[in-house]
Order: sequence, then C-alpha cells, then structure tokens
Amino acid sequence: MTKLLEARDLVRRYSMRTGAFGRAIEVRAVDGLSLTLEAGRTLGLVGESGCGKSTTGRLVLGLEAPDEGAVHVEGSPMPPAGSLAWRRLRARMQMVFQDPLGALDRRLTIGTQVEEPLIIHGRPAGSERITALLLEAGLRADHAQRYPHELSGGQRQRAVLARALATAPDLLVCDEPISALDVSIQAQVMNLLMEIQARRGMAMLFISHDLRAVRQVSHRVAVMYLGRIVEEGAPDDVLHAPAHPYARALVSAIPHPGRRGQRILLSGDPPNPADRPSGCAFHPRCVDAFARCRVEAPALRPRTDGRLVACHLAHAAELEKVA
Amino acid sequence: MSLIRIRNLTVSFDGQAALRGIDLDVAPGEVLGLVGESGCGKSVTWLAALGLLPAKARITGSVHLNDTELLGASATTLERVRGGRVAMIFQDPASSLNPVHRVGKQITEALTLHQGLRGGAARAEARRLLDAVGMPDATRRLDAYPHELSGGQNQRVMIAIALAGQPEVLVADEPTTALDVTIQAQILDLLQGLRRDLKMALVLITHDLGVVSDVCERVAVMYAGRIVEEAPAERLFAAPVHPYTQGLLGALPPIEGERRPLTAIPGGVPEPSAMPPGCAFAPRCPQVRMECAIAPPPLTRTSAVQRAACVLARDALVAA
Amino acid sequence: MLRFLAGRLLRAAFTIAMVVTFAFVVLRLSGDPAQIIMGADAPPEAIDAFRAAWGLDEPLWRQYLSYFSAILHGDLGRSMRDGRDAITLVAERIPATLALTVPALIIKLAIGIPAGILAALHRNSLLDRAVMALAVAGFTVPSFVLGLLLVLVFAVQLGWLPSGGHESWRHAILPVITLGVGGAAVLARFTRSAMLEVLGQSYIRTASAKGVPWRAVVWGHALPNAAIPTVTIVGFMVGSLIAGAVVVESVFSWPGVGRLLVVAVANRDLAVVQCILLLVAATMVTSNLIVDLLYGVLDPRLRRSVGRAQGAH
Repeated sequence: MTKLLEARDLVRRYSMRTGAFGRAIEVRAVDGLSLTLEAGRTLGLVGESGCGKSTTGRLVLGLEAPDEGAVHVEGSPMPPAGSLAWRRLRARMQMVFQDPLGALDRRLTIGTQVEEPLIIHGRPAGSERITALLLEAGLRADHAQRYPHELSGGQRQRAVLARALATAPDLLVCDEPISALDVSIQAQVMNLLMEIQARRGMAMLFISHDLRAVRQVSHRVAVMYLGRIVEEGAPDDVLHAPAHPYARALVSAIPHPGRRGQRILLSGDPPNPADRPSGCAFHPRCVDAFARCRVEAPALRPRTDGRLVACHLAHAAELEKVA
Repeated sequence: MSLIRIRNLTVSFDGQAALRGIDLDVAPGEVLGLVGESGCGKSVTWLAALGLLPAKARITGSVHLNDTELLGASATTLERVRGGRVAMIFQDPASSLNPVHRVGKQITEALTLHQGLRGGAARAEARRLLDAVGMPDATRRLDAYPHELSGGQNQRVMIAIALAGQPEVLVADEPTTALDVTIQAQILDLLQGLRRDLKMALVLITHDLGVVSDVCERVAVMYAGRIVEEAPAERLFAAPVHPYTQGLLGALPPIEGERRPLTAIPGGVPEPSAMPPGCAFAPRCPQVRMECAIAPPPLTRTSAVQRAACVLARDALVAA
Repeated sequence: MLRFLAGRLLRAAFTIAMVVTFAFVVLRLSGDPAQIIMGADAPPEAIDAFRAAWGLDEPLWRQYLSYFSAILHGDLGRSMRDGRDAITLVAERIPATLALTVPALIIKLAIGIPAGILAALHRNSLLDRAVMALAVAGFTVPSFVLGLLLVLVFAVQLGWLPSGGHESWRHAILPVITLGVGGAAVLARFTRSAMLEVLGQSYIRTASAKGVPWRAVVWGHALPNAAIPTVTIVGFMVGSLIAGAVVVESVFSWPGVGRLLVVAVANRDLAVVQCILLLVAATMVTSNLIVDLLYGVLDPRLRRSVGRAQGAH
C-alpha cells in the first residue's frame, strides 16, 4: 500500500488562562501522535471529548501547524497554511464536518457551492459536472438550484460531500460526519462513503466517537486518549480483543443488541487536557495501574501480533508469555 | 394494572399533526423503551402528557395516571404530578439546568415542592440524593453552578432533582445522547440501579437501538407520530415484524460479523404537512403493497406480547 | 479581582481623556471664541486682548498641555462669558437636570420593564401587539416632537399644565413624561426580547417539569436570567442621567446642564463645554463599570473563579 500521508510525533499546544488572573497554563491537545494514511484505505480515529481527535484532523490537513513534529504528504513536508503550495494542495485533500448546515453558505445555491472548488482550482466546471457530482452523492440534479435550508440534514451532508469530491481529492478527512444525523440517514451516509472510497480509491480519515460506525467504515482503527493514540490495529481485533484498558472500557460501554458480559465502568469523567496526569494519562482511571504507570508514559509500540499499544501492562504481559 | 394509560393521544401544532393517535401503557416498575428518529413524536408524547407543550398545541385523547386524568387537569394537579409522580429529565443537561442557580438550590426546590422539606433538612436530603446518583464530593458540589460541572455530572444532578419528588415514573428523554460513550454507560447503569432500588418505572426515550437493547424490557417503536411496533426487547431484536423496525436494526452497524453495506432505508421521514394518505412508511417500505396506500394500518397483535401496525402483521399472525 | 478593577479604572481614565481631547480639538477648530463672544463689530485690538487674556493665541499643543495639567490640579477653567469657575456653573445646574432625569428614569423602569415582561408572557396576544405598537411609536417619535406635541395639547389647548419654565413641580410634568416615554419604549422592547429568549430555554422547561408553579418559574427562574442583558441598557440610561436631557431642556426652557451645554457651545465657551463633557464621560464610564461588576453578581458564569471543578464537556 502506498503511503499517502505520514504524521510523525505531532504536538499541538494551546495557551489558556484559568480565570482572569490565573497563571497561563498549557493545554496539549495533541501530545506525540504519529499516524500513516494509505491510499485507498480508511483509518478510523475514535475517542471521547477532549482526546484531540478534531485537532488531529486539522493537523493532518495542514489547517494548523504542529508545534512539534511534522506532516509529510507523499514524502514532501506539508507547506505552511495559507501559502500558495498549501492552497494548491487543497485540491487533493478535503474535509467533511459534523454540522452540514454550518459548512454551507446560506446564501448560495447548492450548485454554486459544489462548483466553487472547480473554479478555484481551474478545473472544468459547468452544470454537467455539477450534476454528475450531485448524483454521485445521492442527490438529484434539481437540488443544484436549492438553498441549504431547503434540504434535510442528510441531504445537506451529501451536498457537503459532493463539494468535497469536486476536485477528486486523494484524501478525505471526515470529522464526526454522521453524529448529527438520524440513524437511518447515518446508514445511508456510511454506505455512500464506503462506496465512494471503493470507486475512487480515496484515502479517508474517519474521526468519530462512535466505535460501531468506525468499525463499519475503517480498515484500521486508532483509539485516542488525551492527545495520544493508545491502541491501533485492525477493527475487529481492537473491538473483540482490546489490549489497552481504556479501549477495553470503551468497547464494553458500547450499547449493542446481543452484547455479552458486564459493562466495564470507568470511574470519573473524561479528563481535562489542561490538567494532565503524570506518567500514563489514563492511570488515574485504570483498574490495572501500577507504580510505573504513574511515572512513565508508555510509548505506542507494536506487540508481537502487530497490534500497536501504549501500555506498560500490555507489553509486560507479552514479555511474561515469552519468558 | 397499568400505572399510566395513554389512549388515542393526538397532538397538532398550527394544524400540523405531530402525534397521530398513541395508545401506550406503562406498568409499575417496568422499563419501557420508546424508540424513533427525529419528528416521530416520542418526546411530544410525554410533554403532552405532562402539559409541558406550548399553549398553541391542540391535544386530544386521554392520559390516565392511576385514576387521575392528566389532560386538561388543573394547574395544581399538574404541578403535583410533575416531579411528584411523573418526573422527566431531558437531553442536554448543561442547558437544562438554570445557569444562575446553584445546583443544591435546584434540588432543594424540588424537595420543598414535593416533600415539604426546608432549610437544613432539605440540604441534607439534597446531599444524600447527590450521593445516591454517584456524584463525587457531594457536599461541595451542592454549591456548584451548572457551568462548573461536566455533562455527566450535570445529568446526575438532573436525576437527583427528578428523584427528589419520589416519582413513580421517570421519563428520560435522550438522557445520554449528548454524553460520551463511557459516561453514557455510567448514567445508564445508574438509571438501572436506581430503578431497581426505588421500584420506579423508567421510560427511556432514545433513537439508539443499542441503548434500548441494553436497558429496556419492553420497546415501542414510533414513526411519524404513531407507534408502529411494540414488543419485549428480546423479541423485537430477534423477530421484528414492521419493516421500519427491520430497517432500523439493519441500519445499526454490527459489532461483529462480515462487514457489508448497511440496510439503508431510502428517502427520509415525510414532513408533517406532506403526510401520505395511507401508511406513513409506505413510500420507503421495501415490502409495500397496494393496500398500504389506502389507510394507515392499526396496531395488530401478532402474538400475545407483540403488536405491529402493518399489513404484514396479519400474515405473521396467520403464520404463527 | 483587584487586577480586574485596576485594569478597568485605567481604561476608564483613558476613555475620559480621549473624550476631553476630542472636545478640546473640535471646539478650537470650529470657530474663534473671541470673535463670537466679543461680537462681530468689536475692534480688532479688543479681540486680540481677549485672546491673549484667555491664552488663545498660544499654539494648540501648548494650550492643550496647560489645560491638561490644570485639570490634574483640579482647575477646570473659567467661563469666558461671566468669568466664574466652570465647575461652579455646571454644578449649579445639576440639581435642575436631575429633577427631570431621575423621575424620568423611574418612569422608564416602572413602565418599560413590566410592559416588556407582560408582552413576553402573553406573546402574540392582543396585549403583546398593543404594547409593542406603543413601544415602536414611543421610540420613533423624536423627543422634541413629542415635547412640542405635549405642550400643544396640554398647555396650549387644554391649559392644564404650564408650557415652560421651572417654577413649580407642575412645570416638571411634561418634560419628565417626554423624557421617560422614549426610554420606556426602548426598555419594553428590549425586556420583551430578553424574556422571550430566556423563556425558550431548556431550563425553563425543566423547572416546569419539576412541578414549579408558573408564577415561580417566571419570578425565580426566568427573570434573574433576563435581568442580565437588561442591566446593560439600564446602565446606559443611568449613565446618561446628566446629559440625556439636552433636547428636552431646550424645548421646555428648563435651566439644567443640557441647556447650559447648548448655550456654551453656541458661544464657544470652551471651559464650560469641556467641563460638561468631562462630567458626562465620567458618569458614563462609572455606570459602565458598575454594570460590568453587576454582571459578575448576576451571572455566575462570568465570575472569575480559580480552581473550579473543571469539566471536560
């Protein structure tokens, strides 16, 4: 598989004040994250609020520059945001957001908005191209004359998708693309994304808090916690035999018909990135935490079976087996 | 003997029907799931029952709480029932709590209304309730404002407020939709535990069939203002009769098994102003027949415990 | 907290300084005080002497510096017309102005806020529409038109009330009403939208679902939240207690600060105008500061608190 995009050791920090006269504290939204996106494959990025998955999406696209680490597109470094080279790169990488209404201009027709990327990048435009894109996204040709507020939520998301596909991008980053939609529409959009990817050979970064959806569309899954990837592997492997304690809790929390076994309940709330625990970020909530976890943050390393895990215990267990 | 009996409840706003005839029973202590997508009327049903809809809503039918008729009841009766016998909690806990009142005050307000507690006694009881809903450091949290707490903590406060009136039924309207999955698990677990300990009935309104399968004993599926299927949870997931239920189940990405395209019900829910004359689901139904366009099918029994509003129900009954 | 106050006071001082500078520059650029006060046919030597006496022949920047240092010493200059201290002149007039603006403020609050609340509670009813129609009329009609109309009807036609002057409390009635109507109208409209916004919030539904009687929902849950934006407007009205009556005082020949301002500007009586503007700026800035502090009291989300129980979402 060809590597389309590679992100190495990304760090993204924000400065925040606690109250009007508190000290300035540093919030690490992304704290040492590496991932690889392959052509024609989908990487699912899953995690809860505050884990940094949206920031990761923006870093991957180059919308923000990382404070440390780098993003490389087909070997060359990502140009700085706003530069000419970066703008040209937009034709090859696009984004789909959670709120389709917010992503569309209220005063322009759907057709105009779908055509816009073509005009910006100097590609052939015109009503035939627009119709082809709309049909591919599951809309009708006459939707081109409508305005966003005249469409349903699902139709709007399809319009956003049509616009994103206009320049035939090699990479599509989807940040919670289905969370705001009804269940039956979610299924439609998921099917559509998979179909489009198969047909166009596009790479996709699918960011979501919904593990079920991520399993459905992804070839590979990465679980994030407080700015780091804590586990990465094939979807079924991660879902059926999670190695990291957080991944285990996440999987057991999924409400699903026919779920077997007891829910693992995590105590406390999802952590505040402004208030990082020492060592392993998960250790305050981990039932299996031991001394080393408080002191040293585990690195994301492969196990013998290829699964990437960032947990002292997961690797220690392996060593025991070998010994 | 049903605790709540809803018969032929209809609700319309400015001539548009939001609810088109609901018959529903809630038995004491049971966990009922009410499932459906946006616009199906699952929230409107309970808002109408408690008289919480705006004045312009036209409501007909009957809602019996034991012997009391709730529709058209006096303000005093309704105020006693709300929170005192039927409590309701809502979807977004952060915006469902008054931002300028401390959390403790919002709980003691309910305690004063329904249990007549005041001052120190009320505060002590509020603290006990916060403990019971799993709020860490309950004493300090009593003086917190909603914006100082997380979403999960706010939802616990809402539940504590709901419990303050010692209700017989707790209606939870999408209580976990706005929360993270791990917090959702905590809250659902809490609701189940409380229901067991307090022998309270729980009506769980949600669009997430997964949540329903985990928590509910009985499930009613709603579509476009009507109940289209009703069955015990296991039965519903094993052998759904109504094509909409089948579609909803097929739309749920499976956790295991082969990955193939999900059953996507084509099209969308019809607008209230453009409701088809017969069965509301007919335009999207993969098993539609000619008779479906004539009149909306009534809820027909397919077995002792299952009902479906579909012409197929007849066939299922015959086959059974 | 202290840092917050210090920052605000600094900004306040800066605002006042800006206003004063602006007034200073504009006044000097807009005509020669000497000419205007001495009259068109005064001999040139007299005019020059006047200018020298008042330091008007100095370069602009030097005039500014001496003026500024004088203020810092508490000397706000003297009126060029009658030589008395500017501040004395202004201070004499303040009670007269307050005699109008304070009752007018009471009217604005006592009529505007309840009207707005009632309109919001009975949204789209006849009452609501009537109140809103009256409100629109109230703030579109310019105050001098309203004032003159009232004079025409009540003083000229009906003869119930006097038309001008300030001898008795009866003379105050028409000006106070004129002043109060516009503000009450604005306040009614504003309070109505603030209430409607609050009544549409989820927590109001929660309160009802708890079994709280409707009256208690309105008083205990809705009003405290609607007060937050309303305080801004009321703060502005309080801030204009001194200078808000310029037009009305002129229409009714009321000897207040507003009238003094008009006369002083016409005469290019520099020190007096600057003194009044300084006073106005100070009042406005103070009232804004109080409003900002009040926000913290009314809205706990705006309070600076350290070490809160931080939630992730």
